Amino acid sequence: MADLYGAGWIDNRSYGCARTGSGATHQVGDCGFSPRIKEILPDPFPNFGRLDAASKATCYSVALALEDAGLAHPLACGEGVGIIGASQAGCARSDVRYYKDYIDSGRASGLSNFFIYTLPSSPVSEASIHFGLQGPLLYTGGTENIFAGCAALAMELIENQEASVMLAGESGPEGALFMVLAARSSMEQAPWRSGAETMAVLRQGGSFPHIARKLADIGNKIVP
Amino acid sequence: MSRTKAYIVSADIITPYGHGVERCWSGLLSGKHALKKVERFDTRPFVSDQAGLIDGIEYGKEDSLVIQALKRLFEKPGHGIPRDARLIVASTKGEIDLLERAVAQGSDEFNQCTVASLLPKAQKLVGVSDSGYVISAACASASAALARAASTVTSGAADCVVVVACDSVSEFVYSGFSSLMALDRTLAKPFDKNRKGLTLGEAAGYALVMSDARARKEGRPIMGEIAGWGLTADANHITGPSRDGKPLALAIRKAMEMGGDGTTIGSICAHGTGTAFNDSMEIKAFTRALGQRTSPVYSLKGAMGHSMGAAGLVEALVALKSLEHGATPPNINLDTVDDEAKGWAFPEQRPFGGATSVLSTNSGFGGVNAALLLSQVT
Repeated sequence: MADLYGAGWIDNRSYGCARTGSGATHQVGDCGFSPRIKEILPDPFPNFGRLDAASKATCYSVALALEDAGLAHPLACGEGVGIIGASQAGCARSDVRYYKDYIDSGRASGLSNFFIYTLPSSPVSEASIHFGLQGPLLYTGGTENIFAGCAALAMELIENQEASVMLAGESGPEGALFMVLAARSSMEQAPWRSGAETMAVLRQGGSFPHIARKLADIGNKIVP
Repeated sequence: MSRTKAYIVSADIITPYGHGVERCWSGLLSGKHALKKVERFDTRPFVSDQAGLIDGIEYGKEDSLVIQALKRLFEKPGHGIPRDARLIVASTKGEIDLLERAVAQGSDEFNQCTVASLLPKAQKLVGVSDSGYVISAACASASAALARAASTVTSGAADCVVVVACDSVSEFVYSGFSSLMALDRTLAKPFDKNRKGLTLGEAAGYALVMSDARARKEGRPIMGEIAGWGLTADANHITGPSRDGKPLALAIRKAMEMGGDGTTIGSICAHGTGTAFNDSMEIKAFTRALGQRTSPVYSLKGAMGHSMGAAGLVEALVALKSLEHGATPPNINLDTVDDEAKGWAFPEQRPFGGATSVLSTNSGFGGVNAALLLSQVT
């Protein structure tokens, strides 16, 4: 089974890294996660302001998760490093934003900058582009516990050797939590939590900071 | 002990050519496209008015467009999907026409318009006990879902998975692709020197993927094997594909490696949207992956339009038909083969005798790539 190497989350009040325990509080502006929080994403990020809220939250969370797992980003070689995202409402908010704008403009023309975020996979696509993730890229949804379902799928991709490292997480306009799951052979450092421990926490559900705290609270167990 | 294999044992589709894989195949061999003027909504503001539409599904009904199409597949008896089959639904926009309706009515009830909200309806229609999950990977959704189904079966996690794929031509999607200037003003001409963009289409279908042991035990007819697959991402641009084709080539190589040594590729059912960048990227990827071992490449999108999240399923089934017949369908609307595609794409039907495998590839927004290796079972 794949193991957990780190996790990062952001919501409308706080962000942090679950393994290292670093984090901060912040205030979300009127435009969601704009302006860019440069402590999380210090590198140039072309067109960051164009991203929808779920994509911004995803990119923040992925940056924190990679940092927590000790992986410098953007990745120098992202082959075999994939990303799978899940969400409660897919891209419904971005769908509505695009279509209302199209209707309000008299059905003359849609805004392409809105339309490109009307795919459920758009947030993980933006993260893939920015961080150089060239492994499998998927959105999954519909399961009762979408976070656990997403993590299980990521572990399956690693176990089947379709990817060596997977970012897996849940995101939405209000925040995101992503984890770094990997095969031991592909990481230099020891895993933080076993896959089984991770799944046990995820199955309990909860808010993003709650899940991050639960992962940290499992204790200083040595991963078998 | 030999590795568990993933067989496609049953499938059905509805495309602009009509109901069934055979009808789709014979439509393609006719050399005539199935594209027509869109009457569902006013196309005057857009750069095109053409699409591949399923006859008889309409706006304004109680059911969404995709549910109307899926009902035709599953409401007739005898589809033979066992109740214990796992369920995967693949789509990019699901019941997006319901969201259009909600916005027009000023409603804020959008939770019933997500891709995931399609899942319980699909579960009921298919008649399986599994509540399933959704896979969405832009225009590679269905091929990615078939890969997950095959993975589930070969890993032994389940011995039977049904993949349901669907997407429809809606004002939402049509206006969006028009705003991206991605539509050809006339008709999509994949791999043509004068290609100008894509033509949208719609489709719905399913494929039942079963382990070899269960398929043989139940005496199922075997359409083919999903012998390998590869999923990669370009990490390049949200709408534009990689310029060098390396990530798609890697997906193809992964699929071929999984298929084992000595795999010979008879033909490639390409994504072939008809946009300048996609088709160029694909030929570069095929060259990288296969070198000088050119195999005839074809696209269905000049014939039926681009059915987005459903395209990979329709294309995989047509690829299996081409393997059965030892020949590709023609590249409909291909007139002057692009310089890059010479030796790969041909306007006419091409025979490829002797091969036991074919490739089907898809790519999509965000740089997602999927390759399936489909093999004959003897």
